[in-house]
Amino acid sequence: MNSLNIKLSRVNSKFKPYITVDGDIINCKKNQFGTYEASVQTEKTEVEVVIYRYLELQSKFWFLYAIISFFVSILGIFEPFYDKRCIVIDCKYNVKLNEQSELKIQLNNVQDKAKATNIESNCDITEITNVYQIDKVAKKRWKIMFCIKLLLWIVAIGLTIYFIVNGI
Amino acid sequence: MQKNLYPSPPAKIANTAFAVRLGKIFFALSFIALILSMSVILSFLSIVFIALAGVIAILLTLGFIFVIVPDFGNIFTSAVDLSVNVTQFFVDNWYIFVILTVALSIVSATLLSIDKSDNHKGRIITSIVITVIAILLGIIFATGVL
Repeated sequence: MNSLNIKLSRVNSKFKPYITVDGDIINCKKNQFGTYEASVQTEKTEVEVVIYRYLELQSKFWFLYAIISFFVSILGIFEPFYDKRCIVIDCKYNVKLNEQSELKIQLNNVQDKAKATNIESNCDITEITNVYQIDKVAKKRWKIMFCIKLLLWIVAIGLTIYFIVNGI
Repeated sequence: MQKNLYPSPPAKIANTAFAVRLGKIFFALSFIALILSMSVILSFLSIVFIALAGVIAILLTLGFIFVIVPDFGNIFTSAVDLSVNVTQFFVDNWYIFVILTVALSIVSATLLSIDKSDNHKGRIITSIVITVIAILLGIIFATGVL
């Protein structure tokens, strides 16, 4: 049985990544130093480690969730902002496991097309991709929501003025 | 439409993110509801403040305020009337705001506690405090102390 210990550091609270090992999302726990740790046991000698960052606007029901939260928050006044930059991590490694493998991943500053992670390990690693990128679909959805919210605000202000003028 | 190159989040992660979003919205709304709950007390104070401001204006100007502003008496009485009406509204409907505050803060704390991957301890504790304050206000108003 091979063991893989993963440590993820320099994680921004607004940029929380998820780690998958051979397609399975692993649960990371935050330690007292702010580093996320996880441990995986496997019979395999080689695994694929992928780091994702999911955006809310990538989800299947993004429009429904966005509209509901817009109206619940009283026309978006009390709503947390969606990430405008829509930057995701495209980070994939093939890791050849030892009996006790250590993987220390450090996230770099978030910038489009910049190197996403620095990695230290006691086993053989092949980097497949390691870059921050803009998710263009999420970015387009952000723009759509911005336009819809602006339109709804214009309608709301127009209706308010109409009712005030007509004394209702 | 351009094909999405990046995977959609699994349903559990997407739903948790939405629940957290709603939790944060309800947390902010519970603050507003708490202020409205406390408006019974605040609106009483506003009547006192307006009356006091009017009396001070009369004293400081030795009564000349009625010459400087001919309609001062009407303005003063209508300001007091408005304040009394607002106070009456809050006194008649205090229970709506208290119930709203308690509901919003409980729902907020519940939704935020769903997210096991992130720490929302600050907001959850604040929501509990808001709930306690709202319940205390409700007890005070119900017993007719204020």
